[in-house]
Amino acid sequence: MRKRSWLTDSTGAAVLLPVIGLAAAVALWWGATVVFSIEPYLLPTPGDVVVKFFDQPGSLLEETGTSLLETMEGFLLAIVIGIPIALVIVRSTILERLVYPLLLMVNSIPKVAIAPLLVVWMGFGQWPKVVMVLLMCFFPIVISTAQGMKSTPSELVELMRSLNASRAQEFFKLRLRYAMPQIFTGFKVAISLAVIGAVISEFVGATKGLGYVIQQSGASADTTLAFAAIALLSIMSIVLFYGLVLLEHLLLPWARERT
Amino acid sequence: MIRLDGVGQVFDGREGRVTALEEIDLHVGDGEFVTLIGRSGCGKSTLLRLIAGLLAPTSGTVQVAGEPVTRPRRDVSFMFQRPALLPWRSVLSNVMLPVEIDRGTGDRGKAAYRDRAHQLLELVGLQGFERRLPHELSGGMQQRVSLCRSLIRDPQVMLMDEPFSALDALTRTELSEELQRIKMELSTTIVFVTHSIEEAVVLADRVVVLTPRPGRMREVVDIDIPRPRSLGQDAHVTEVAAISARLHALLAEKSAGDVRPVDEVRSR
Repeated sequence: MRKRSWLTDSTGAAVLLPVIGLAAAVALWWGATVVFSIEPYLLPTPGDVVVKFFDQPGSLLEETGTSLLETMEGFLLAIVIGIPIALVIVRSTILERLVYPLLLMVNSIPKVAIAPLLVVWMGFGQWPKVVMVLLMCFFPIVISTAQGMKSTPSELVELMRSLNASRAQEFFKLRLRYAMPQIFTGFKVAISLAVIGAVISEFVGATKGLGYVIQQSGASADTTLAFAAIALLSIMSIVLFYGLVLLEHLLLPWARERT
Repeated sequence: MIRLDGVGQVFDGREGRVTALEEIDLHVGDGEFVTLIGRSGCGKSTLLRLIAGLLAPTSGTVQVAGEPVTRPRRDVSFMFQRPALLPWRSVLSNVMLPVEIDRGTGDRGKAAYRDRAHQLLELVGLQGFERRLPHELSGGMQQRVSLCRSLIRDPQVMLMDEPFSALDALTRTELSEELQRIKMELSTTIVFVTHSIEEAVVLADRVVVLTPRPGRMREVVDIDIPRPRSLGQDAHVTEVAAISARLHALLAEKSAGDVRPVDEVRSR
């Protein structure tokens, strides 16, 4: 029997520990720059990065907003397209065999390779970015949804049949609900990939967004600006991820207690 | 109420054709309590699924209330070995599931059913638990919820597939007493599958003994012990034991050639 302690069981510790971890990493970074007296163009101190951000908070936040919008649009589109495809895969073995290799193929293409193609096809606007995000997070969402729906216990399926439930009822009232915890696992994998997708697409043929800022700062050797943009990206990823965790906690109270 | 004539069921398995049931002729009267008993693999679960309309027979006919069964009927309810509760639904909303699935029910009808659900939950001693989620309940309580769910639409026929087999002995005795009480109150026709000889005897008006591979009716035994029967207090231990011994002999007779457990096929 493991001993219960405040560090593992309380909500306060659940919030405090990640903050301590993060603070320790920043302190280590800061310490390294001071102790080894590293040049700022190689590795700026955390202080430099924060100062850089407050030099131009408006424009950096605007770039963050652009990236965030692309990320969210692509992510939501992946959900809207991914869940019906997962349903098709679950319903029909024939279609599953037909579609699965295609999905795998699309997923295995390095996305950096298609970024310029998307620009050629869709121009310099928002669409190539949204599509890139979609391509990045589509696969984990489809797989986790399909797996979740397939794992519905047979006695629950038989119960629905014994009640003369329609196919639609079996899907919405049972399979989709049952798959929700696994779908959320897919969402959590996908959201981090979505942010990466947005940045990749902003490296190519973009005039705004944090990816664009990073690329520009590389060209002008402004390492501190690149770090500021990367920091904002990380914060965005973390906020999005924990947003999903919170949403799961609120929407699926029944899944919390299952072991 | 239920009529099976010359019913046979053959499954095409990976190891060739398996005859699960053969020449089943069974008539169950209105309000009768019949238990089906046999070794695992004798097709008793299959037989129940045929009556439920979850499975179509390979040969013969299955009728409920004078009509051939082609699909699950709304006046027949099915109770499984496991509680089969939807984990995200409260106790009350699990009990209401059959009403919700059947879109023919209007709002007033639903309100009436909700009152009925509260009554049923009280009947099985679960008042005050309406808002709880299934994982907050014990196994016995979960199976009680499942019982309420199968009673919500006042079924004419209840089909029960070893519903108490996963419970501890004490809970099991309690629930079988509750079931008898409910049965006497509602005069529902019940077909109950079990592999426990004592349970079969305590509950039934008639016990049908099935032999395995292919599943055939070995014998039908009438049980004349007065109700309510019990194995707990005021026990009918001697009566039950006498009949149990006889059933035991019947079941043991055909144990030769009983090698691999193939059956208990549960899908359609």
